[in-house]
Amino acid sequence: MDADGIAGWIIIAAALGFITYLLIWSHSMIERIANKKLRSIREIMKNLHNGR
Amino acid sequence: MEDKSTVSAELSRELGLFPITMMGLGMMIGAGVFLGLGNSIFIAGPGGGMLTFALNGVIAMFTAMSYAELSSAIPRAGGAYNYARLAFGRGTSFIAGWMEWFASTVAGSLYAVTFAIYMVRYFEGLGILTWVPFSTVINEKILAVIIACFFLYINYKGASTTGKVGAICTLGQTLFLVFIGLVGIFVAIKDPSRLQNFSPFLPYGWSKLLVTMGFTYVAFEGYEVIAQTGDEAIDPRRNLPKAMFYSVYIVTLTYIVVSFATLVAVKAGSPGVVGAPWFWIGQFKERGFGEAVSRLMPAGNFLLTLAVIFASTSALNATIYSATRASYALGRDHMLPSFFAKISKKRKTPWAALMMTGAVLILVATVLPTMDVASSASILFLFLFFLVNICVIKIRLNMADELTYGYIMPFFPVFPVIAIICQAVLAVWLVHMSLIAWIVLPVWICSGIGIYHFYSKYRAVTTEDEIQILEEEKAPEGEGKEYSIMVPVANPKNALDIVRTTYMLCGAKKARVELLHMVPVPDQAPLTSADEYMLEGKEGIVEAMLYLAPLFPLSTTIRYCRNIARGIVSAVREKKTDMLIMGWHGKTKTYGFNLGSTVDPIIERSPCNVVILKNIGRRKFKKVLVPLAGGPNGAFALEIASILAEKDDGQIVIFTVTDGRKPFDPNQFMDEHQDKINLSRKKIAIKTAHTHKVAQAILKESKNYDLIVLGYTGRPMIYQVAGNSIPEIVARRSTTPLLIAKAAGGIRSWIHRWI
Repeated sequence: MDADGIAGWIIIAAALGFITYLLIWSHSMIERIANKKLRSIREIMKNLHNGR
Repeated sequence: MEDKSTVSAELSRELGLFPITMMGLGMMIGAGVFLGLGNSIFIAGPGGGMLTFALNGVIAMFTAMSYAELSSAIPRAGGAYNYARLAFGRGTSFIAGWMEWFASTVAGSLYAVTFAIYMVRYFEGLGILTWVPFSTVINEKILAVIIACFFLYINYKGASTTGKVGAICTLGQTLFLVFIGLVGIFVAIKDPSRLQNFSPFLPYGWSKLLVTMGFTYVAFEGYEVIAQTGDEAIDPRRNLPKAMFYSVYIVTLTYIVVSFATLVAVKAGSPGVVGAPWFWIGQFKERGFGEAVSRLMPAGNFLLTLAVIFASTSALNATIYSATRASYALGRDHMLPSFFAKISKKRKTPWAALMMTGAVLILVATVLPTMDVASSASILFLFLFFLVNICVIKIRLNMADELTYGYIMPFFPVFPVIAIICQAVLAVWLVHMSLIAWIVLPVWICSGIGIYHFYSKYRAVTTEDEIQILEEEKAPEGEGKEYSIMVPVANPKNALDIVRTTYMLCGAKKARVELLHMVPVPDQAPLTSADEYMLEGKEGIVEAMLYLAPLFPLSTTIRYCRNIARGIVSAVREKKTDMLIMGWHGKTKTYGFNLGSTVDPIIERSPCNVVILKNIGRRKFKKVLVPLAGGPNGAFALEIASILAEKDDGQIVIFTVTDGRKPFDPNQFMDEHQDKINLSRKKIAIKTAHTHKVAQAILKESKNYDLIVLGYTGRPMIYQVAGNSIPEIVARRSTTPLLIAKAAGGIRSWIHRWI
């Protein structure tokens, strides 16, 4: 396999991994906001920080 | 008495997560992957297909995050149109809705024609159409009209029926594509030599990817239709963002797997295959995907035709839905004739908008050439997404405290900025694919601007979110650029409290004064009742005028608003104010805010110097305490203190607290900012305390002073909400009169001034 091929497969894997991470993160964020009945950005951020 | 109450029909909430996700998927897997994959391989090589869809998937995910955040906060039919209205006002929002409607409608025409072309070819292959006396083209047009009418009727029957029919079609096509992908993986495992088809991976270089990404980006446009379901979705704050992420993720995975299967479907040296398999597939261009799949499994051609039928009909269904809701929203706000907003009382669907969309869709399908118009739709969609990514930044900066969010993106605003750049590049590269598209785009936008200026502008309803001027009296314009100070006044008591400080600052800056009263009309009350709430503000303005008008050029403005903070920040931007002076009662009751739900957003978002006064009254300040630690607002705090301190017998004490770790030299600090200090250095003393309890030390020291002047924290809001900063603790607990100073300047002020 040539160098472009190696780079290409790495990029495809990285892209898939990245959007998978964003999907999981976003899903948990949606559930968290809904379950805790948070409203404004401030409430959400404060809750995020306190939850760490 | 005239009864002004009206009974208005609303859209029914019937769509759950599954049908919404399927509608998004349906709009994405339209014709893009079938037509685009062969071309991608032709233009970029064997690795081009997978890389194109993988990278487009990432960009689409970024834009999906913007859509998810906005749709969760503003779950209403209209999508980009609503977001642009909140972010930029009526003009831009009309253009967004105007483009949204046309792009979706034209895309619908394309899908109707795609369906018709494949069906006519299939029937002709079976010899069924030999008795029909029309040419192939006429047959295609007739079938396109029939299928368009069928899906217009399905949409008329209601969102639930629309969702169910669309979901079935989409499920069918998605399962078929996944099946192709699985067969491809199975074939590759069985015969690993086929993996050699990927070599060389990118024979024409990486730059060709830009062309293929632009060409296939239309295959990721489904989140717009999901946003349009805001009025009809069950639990929209949760379901809309989820549906967007699921649909983008599923199509990205599906496209990559299908691209892989397409390449391994053809074995090198097999009968009919000349040259490298990827080159053989690519030379068929739009048909490349079909030619490859036909070699992957028995009855491949038939199954492919079936898949295209499923894909085009589900995409047609979704685009009709999206276009109808876009025009409905324009009619609802009187941007287009209110006829567009009529809703069937029986079906609860916007029948008039549906009829108009259908008329345009059928006209385009029967009259215009499809490929160039499809490219125009792509550019319009890219432009829309570009706009939405700007909207998400602007709305988060300006209205974050007023909206109820169901989702917020991480690392704001990194992802929307990256998406904006990428979409601009892809749109530019589409020029190389279709010149006509770049003629259609400005023509459509210009016609939209014309309609807005000659029709919509005079008829559009004022929404709850807009701020309107009730009364305004302007001072005569001075020569050149004068320093401008804005003073929001709530009532006579508040006016008297801040008038002396304002007087001294205006004198020092030789400023003109803008007295502002925002009339906060409660959400439950109509905006027309603003007069009832403005009496106290008028009295306050009169009180302040008594002191200031004889000495300084003075203007007064009274505006109504739903949110005081946004109203004041909006006025600061509009008037290009240099300094804002306002009072603060000293308490905060709202969770998440440090100085209160009005003061916090004003300090954070005002692109000018801000001075907040607590318990100031009309005192004279002989002893002024200025706690300093070298922060970004320290110099401004020192400047304000030197203006307010009594010139004859006043004294400023610079107070520093050190725990021995971070040495701060007040003398060096004063040397660096000497030009800002309006008081003799002899009248400035320095005092240092050694403790790690900084806030307590300042509070203890402040008891012997007439005034504390604090520089506001330099930390961004994200860190402020995590915990209180020292200035905020001191500000809340101090019983001594207090002034908080925040200086303009830096990148954040620039952003707030222009965005």
